Amino acid sequence: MSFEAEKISYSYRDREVLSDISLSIQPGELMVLVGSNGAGKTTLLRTLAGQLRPRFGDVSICDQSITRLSSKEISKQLSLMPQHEEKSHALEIYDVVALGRTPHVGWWMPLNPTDESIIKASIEAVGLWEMRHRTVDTLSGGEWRRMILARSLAQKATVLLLDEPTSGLDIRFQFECLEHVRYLVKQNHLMAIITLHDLNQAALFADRIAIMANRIILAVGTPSEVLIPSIIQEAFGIETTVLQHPQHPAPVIVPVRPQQRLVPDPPRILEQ
Amino acid sequence: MMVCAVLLLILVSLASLMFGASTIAPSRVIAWLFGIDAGSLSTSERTILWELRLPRLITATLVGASLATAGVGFQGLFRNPLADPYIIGASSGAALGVSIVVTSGIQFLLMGYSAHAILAFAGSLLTVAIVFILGSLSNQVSTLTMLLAGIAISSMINSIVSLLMFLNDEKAVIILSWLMGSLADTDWRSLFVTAIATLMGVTLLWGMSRQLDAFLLGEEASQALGLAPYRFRMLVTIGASLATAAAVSTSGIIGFVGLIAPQISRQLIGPRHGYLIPFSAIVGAITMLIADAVARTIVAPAELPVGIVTSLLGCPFFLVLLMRRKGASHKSL
Repeated sequence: MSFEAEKISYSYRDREVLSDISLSIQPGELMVLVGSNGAGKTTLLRTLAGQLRPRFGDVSICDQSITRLSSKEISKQLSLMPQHEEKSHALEIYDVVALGRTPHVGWWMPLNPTDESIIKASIEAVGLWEMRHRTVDTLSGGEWRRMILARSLAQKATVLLLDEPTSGLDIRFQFECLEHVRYLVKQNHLMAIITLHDLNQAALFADRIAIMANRIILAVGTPSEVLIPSIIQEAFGIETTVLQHPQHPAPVIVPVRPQQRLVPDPPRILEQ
Repeated sequence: MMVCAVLLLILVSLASLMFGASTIAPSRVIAWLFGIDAGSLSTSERTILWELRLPRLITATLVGASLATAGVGFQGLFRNPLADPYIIGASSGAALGVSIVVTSGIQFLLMGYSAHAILAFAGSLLTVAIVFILGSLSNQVSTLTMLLAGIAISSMINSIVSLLMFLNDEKAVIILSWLMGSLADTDWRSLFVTAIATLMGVTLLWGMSRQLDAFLLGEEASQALGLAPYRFRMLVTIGASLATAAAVSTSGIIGFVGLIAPQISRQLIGPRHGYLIPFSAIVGAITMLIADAVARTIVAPAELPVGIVTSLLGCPFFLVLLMRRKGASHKSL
């Protein structure tokens, strides 16, 4: 009952984007994938979801290789939330969440009452039931993220792959979103792999963290095992100090300004 | 809304049976339709209705419905409200087919179909097939590649058509009048295959409603819901092209219906394809019937090419509709 990637490599034309990557997660586990921009996180998620075919290696759900499954079979067990989606259309929230049921009902059959109750429960779980008839082109970033999360829930998949689910959200919705995902993973024994940019959020919410750098997985382990200055230096090229969170058993990563400046007076750069 | 549209379609159909070079009273048209006219119609009126107006009414309905449905299909496939049934070369291919027939002077009939209609149908489907294959050749298959290939191929074919017209200037008028679109040469014989191709195309697209809905979310998101991208692209292209080929081979190139009928429908009934496709088909049929009625009455007993009327009347109507839309949803499908 696990989700595994064994020694997968992926190349785009002649450029290798993923090199010999192995990962495995168990039911009820939330793994956060961090890494610098362009390290290959999105490519890895798409390969894990079967959208890109690895050049070498294999991805399997419950010991079943996903290369042998049809895209419909995959989407019954695995839900990928892409980073970007078209938002300029006038489908209602309800319709979009209802599309999450298609892996189960198919493209032609009408929805039955069970599907409808699953859709309702999914929309209620993210608190959008009152506004289920709003159209997508009128939603704010936070509402839109919650709608997409509801669609993943309606898909009733055991594996959730979420590509930067917190991007574009304010700090409250970021925490609510992660809190929600963690609750669902624990409650329903799901397996989730999430990409995040904020190391401190990763430390707070992850059971295990995988750090990607330059096509490979640099380290996998609990937050306090992998979030140490030497690994962060190798992955991101910055100097950090690691503290202890005052209320949770999690590390807190604080960047340190380099001793030798390349530029005399560095402009202040906001963290993305 | 759907009921209103159907009622309007029935009304417009009755009107188009009544009006023409001679007017027949509505009560007598209805009596004739139900087979209880009991001799109130003269023989010539009966011939007009049966031989001219009824087949023309059905053709106009089919052409309007197929263009509108193909428009919905291509707008969904390219996720672009500007797409129309001719966007990847269906019309250019048909025009080339007709130009070849006209300039070479071939004449034959097959199952009641003229060489014009057959080559237009074949040219249309062949062009789309070439575009589809070219669009799928590149490693990263995307609808954008297909769209660009379509634009390139159709402008190449258009210039071949122009060349043929330039070299055979005495025959250019015949080609040109075909390009302007007309429903004048319709009879029962030519209806059969048009009807079948239209029905196949429309049914196929309607059957793909949920896939078209999912595709609105974007290529990656629809794949995550289990949509097989290559097969989806191919089936939408086949459905929309069958419908378009059926329309262009019977009536020439009629512009604008395939663009505005889906737009109007989307505003009235929303973006869900399960409703949008049948509704657009009805709106397309109504638009064609009105345009055709205008085309054959306004300069009676002569006739205007119906393609000119659709653009002339459709454009201002469409612009009014555009101006009334709220700013935010301009780009929305």
